[in-house]
Amino acid sequence: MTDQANQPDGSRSLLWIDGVGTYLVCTGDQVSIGGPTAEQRAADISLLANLSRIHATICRRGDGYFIEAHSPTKVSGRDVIERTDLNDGYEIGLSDTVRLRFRLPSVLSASARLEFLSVHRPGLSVDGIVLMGDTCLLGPGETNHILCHDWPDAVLLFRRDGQLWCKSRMDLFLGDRHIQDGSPIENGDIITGPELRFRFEAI
Amino acid sequence: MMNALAETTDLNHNRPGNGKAPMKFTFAPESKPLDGFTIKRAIQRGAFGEVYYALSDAGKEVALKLVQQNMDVELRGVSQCLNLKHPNLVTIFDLKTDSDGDHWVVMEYVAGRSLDQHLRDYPNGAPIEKTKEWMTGIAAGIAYLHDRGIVHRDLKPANIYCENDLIKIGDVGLSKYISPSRRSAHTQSVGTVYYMAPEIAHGRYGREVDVYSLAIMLYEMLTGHVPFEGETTGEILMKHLSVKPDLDPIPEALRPVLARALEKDPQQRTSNVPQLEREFHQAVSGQPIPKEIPAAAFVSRDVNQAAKQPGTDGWRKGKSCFKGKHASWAKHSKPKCLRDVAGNLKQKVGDIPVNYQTPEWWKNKDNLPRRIGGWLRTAAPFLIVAAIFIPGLFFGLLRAVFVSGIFGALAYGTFRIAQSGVNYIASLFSNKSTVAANANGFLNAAGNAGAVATGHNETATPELASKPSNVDVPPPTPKVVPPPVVRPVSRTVGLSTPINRQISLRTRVTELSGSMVLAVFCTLIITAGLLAAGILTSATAAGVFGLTALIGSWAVMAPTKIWEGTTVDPFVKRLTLLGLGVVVGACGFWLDQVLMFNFVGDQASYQGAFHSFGPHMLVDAARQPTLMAYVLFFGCLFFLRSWWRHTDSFRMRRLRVSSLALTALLGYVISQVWSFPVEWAMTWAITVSSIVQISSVWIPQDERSKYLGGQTHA
Repeated sequence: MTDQANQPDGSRSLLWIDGVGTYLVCTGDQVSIGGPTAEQRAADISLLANLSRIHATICRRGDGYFIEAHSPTKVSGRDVIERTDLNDGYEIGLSDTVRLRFRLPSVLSASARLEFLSVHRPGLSVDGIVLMGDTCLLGPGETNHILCHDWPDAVLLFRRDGQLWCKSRMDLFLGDRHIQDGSPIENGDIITGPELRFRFEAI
Repeated sequence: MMNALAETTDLNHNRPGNGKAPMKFTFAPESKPLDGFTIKRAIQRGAFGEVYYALSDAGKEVALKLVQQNMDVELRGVSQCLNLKHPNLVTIFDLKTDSDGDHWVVMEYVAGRSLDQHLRDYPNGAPIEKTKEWMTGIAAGIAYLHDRGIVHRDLKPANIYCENDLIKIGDVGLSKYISPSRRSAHTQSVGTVYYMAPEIAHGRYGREVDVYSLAIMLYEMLTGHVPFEGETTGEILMKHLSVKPDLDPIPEALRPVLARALEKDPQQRTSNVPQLEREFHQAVSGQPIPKEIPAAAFVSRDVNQAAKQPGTDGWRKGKSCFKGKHASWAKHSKPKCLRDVAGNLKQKVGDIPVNYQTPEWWKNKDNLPRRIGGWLRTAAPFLIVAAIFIPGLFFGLLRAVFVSGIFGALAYGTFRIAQSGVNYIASLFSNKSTVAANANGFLNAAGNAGAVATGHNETATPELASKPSNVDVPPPTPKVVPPPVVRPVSRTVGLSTPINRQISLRTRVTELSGSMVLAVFCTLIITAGLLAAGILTSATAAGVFGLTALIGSWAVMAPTKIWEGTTVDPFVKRLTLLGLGVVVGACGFWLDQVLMFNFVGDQASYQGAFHSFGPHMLVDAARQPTLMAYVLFFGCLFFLRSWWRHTDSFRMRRLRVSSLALTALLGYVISQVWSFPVEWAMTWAITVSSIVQISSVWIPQDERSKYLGGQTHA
């Protein structure tokens, strides 16, 4: 199941958000977590940590999530035997050192967020990871997947026809083009709006 | 100051919960203004330029800061800091220039959250454990900077980060190298005003500014808000300069620590960051911190006392105190004994140069104003009574008083300057200062030793005035204190010394309500008198005059009753009264309008130097005073007079005629500056002053001691 991971299939992307941070967005239904490796196939989320190459996999099924342990994994302090469900606020412990918090910020969206509790990060300084279902909300307020304190309003990323789209109540621009009723976004697109700017980068 | 005011751009930027910065940046993601680096996103816009997150070609994360303003100063600062290495400082890698000639600072990228963001999570104050962590990290970084002769100058929560439990101080590039010659040279102000030490307004940037900023941040971490808030930069700066921080929300043990670290005067302030940190940790861990009264304060008193007891051999007395019971040291006798030693040491040395003798008349100089006051008091009732009933004479006299007042003030000023000059020269001759300082150092050392010897947890007596310090830390270097000018303690329990008294809320309320009722009768009598004397010409006039005077009197009595027996900063009192004066003025104007009163003022009534205040006219087309005139007059009248002395139960006399005369004079002066009907100005001033004094509770001298709870006054 993890073999499909890490393909350059557009299942992972980075959002570089001015004034906010860098977020890794994983759109796959299964997202693997592991340590650094010299081999070609690293996990979707490859942390600089003392972990197995593929240490655990977080899977989305319907509206819910569960985690599959391939190496010692804990959820809320209890060892995971094979798999266990994940709910909002659960703490995931990987191999005694790595600690992540699993969040489901919005009840209206199946997307989840992973927060870093320990010091371990991917090679780049990523501020958070979004496990994106159909939508990803960026904006002010706790119910957004990516919290952007100073934004006047939220921006919605959503999937349509296998592509990522972007829309907002605010006036957004993709380059010089005004986005009305949403627009598909591609690798390298820069989206600007009032008091906001971010770049979408597929990896 | 103007420069400081100009620095308003990030006033709101760094406020917790209010962090709006315009997200317009010069460079787009993926641009490469600097060879070898690709900008990925903008991080923030600081006061001194835009900051970007960038990756080097090999993938190294850096923060790139584009330097926009104050270029050479900034660059000089940065280049001095290029090779600083400390885990608590954000490392500067390099300083580069792009093809357009713009300068870039290449810095370590810190991924963690800023203290600013941390504070947003705790609107009512952060947990003490977290605060300790921040405090330790910041203090270590700043101590390192200070040790290298660099002052940060721009410490604020937005500049401090926590990454992987490691505190990092950023923007070190703004720091300045201190050398004596340049200490005051940089006059431009930097830093967000919330965290700015008062002396920065004067262009002084010693290490103490960092102590102050750190203390402000500590205050904010403990309470969730900064001590000095305001709508404008100017307002906040003014508070830094003049308002004492409200330490009530601070845990009690930390209050003295913060009070010292937030001192307005950098000389009085906690002298360095490690000391502040030490005191903070001691207070938090519950170790007793001696409450400190500035060394100069108690020394002067002791010199005074020692001087009052000729013939006692202070030194021997002190020595016996040392030799005697070591055990008794620890308790209450300690400070007294030690102070005796210190004081007597000074006396001893002061005795050596006997060449200089103060002439007898000079020693009695403080009786001079008293005598003048005596004459004035005798004459004044006649003058005032005559004046009230003979308006023409009244103004003639007042003008005379005004002129003689100016000359008198000039003469008195010259006299005081000469006096302090002579005192200073005297002190030079007697060479007391150095020895006094040694005595201080000795006292401090001894105080510390005492604390070590006993190690008990009893809270130090308030009189104990030694610097807090650890066992392993040498006592603070004694500072050379110039000998204070010893002023005699007030001859009676008067108002020249503010007296702290415990007055229950109940007493305050009872006294105030009684006074307010009494004020109504006073107003009625005075207004009726003025009406009968023909000074007030109509019932309408009497209505406007009397009601405004009554409101004014209440407005004075209420706050001053609250302040009575407490030590509120006089400036705060004045500002409060100013506000109330504005309200009273507005009420007066409103009554004027409602009762449709017309001042029958001729040309001579308006003699002010200014007939308008900014765009606001003070006299309208019908030759009536405007709202602004009312507000200005009452505002100034309330602001300029020390009204709390009119109402204090411990005032010299119930009704001081000299005080009435001075208030009337003030009314006259104000009306000579801001146009307002002169007769009304003075009559109102004198009436409010009379009502207030007559109605307020007054306790005769001989009954006062029982209100003081055993406190004795010389």
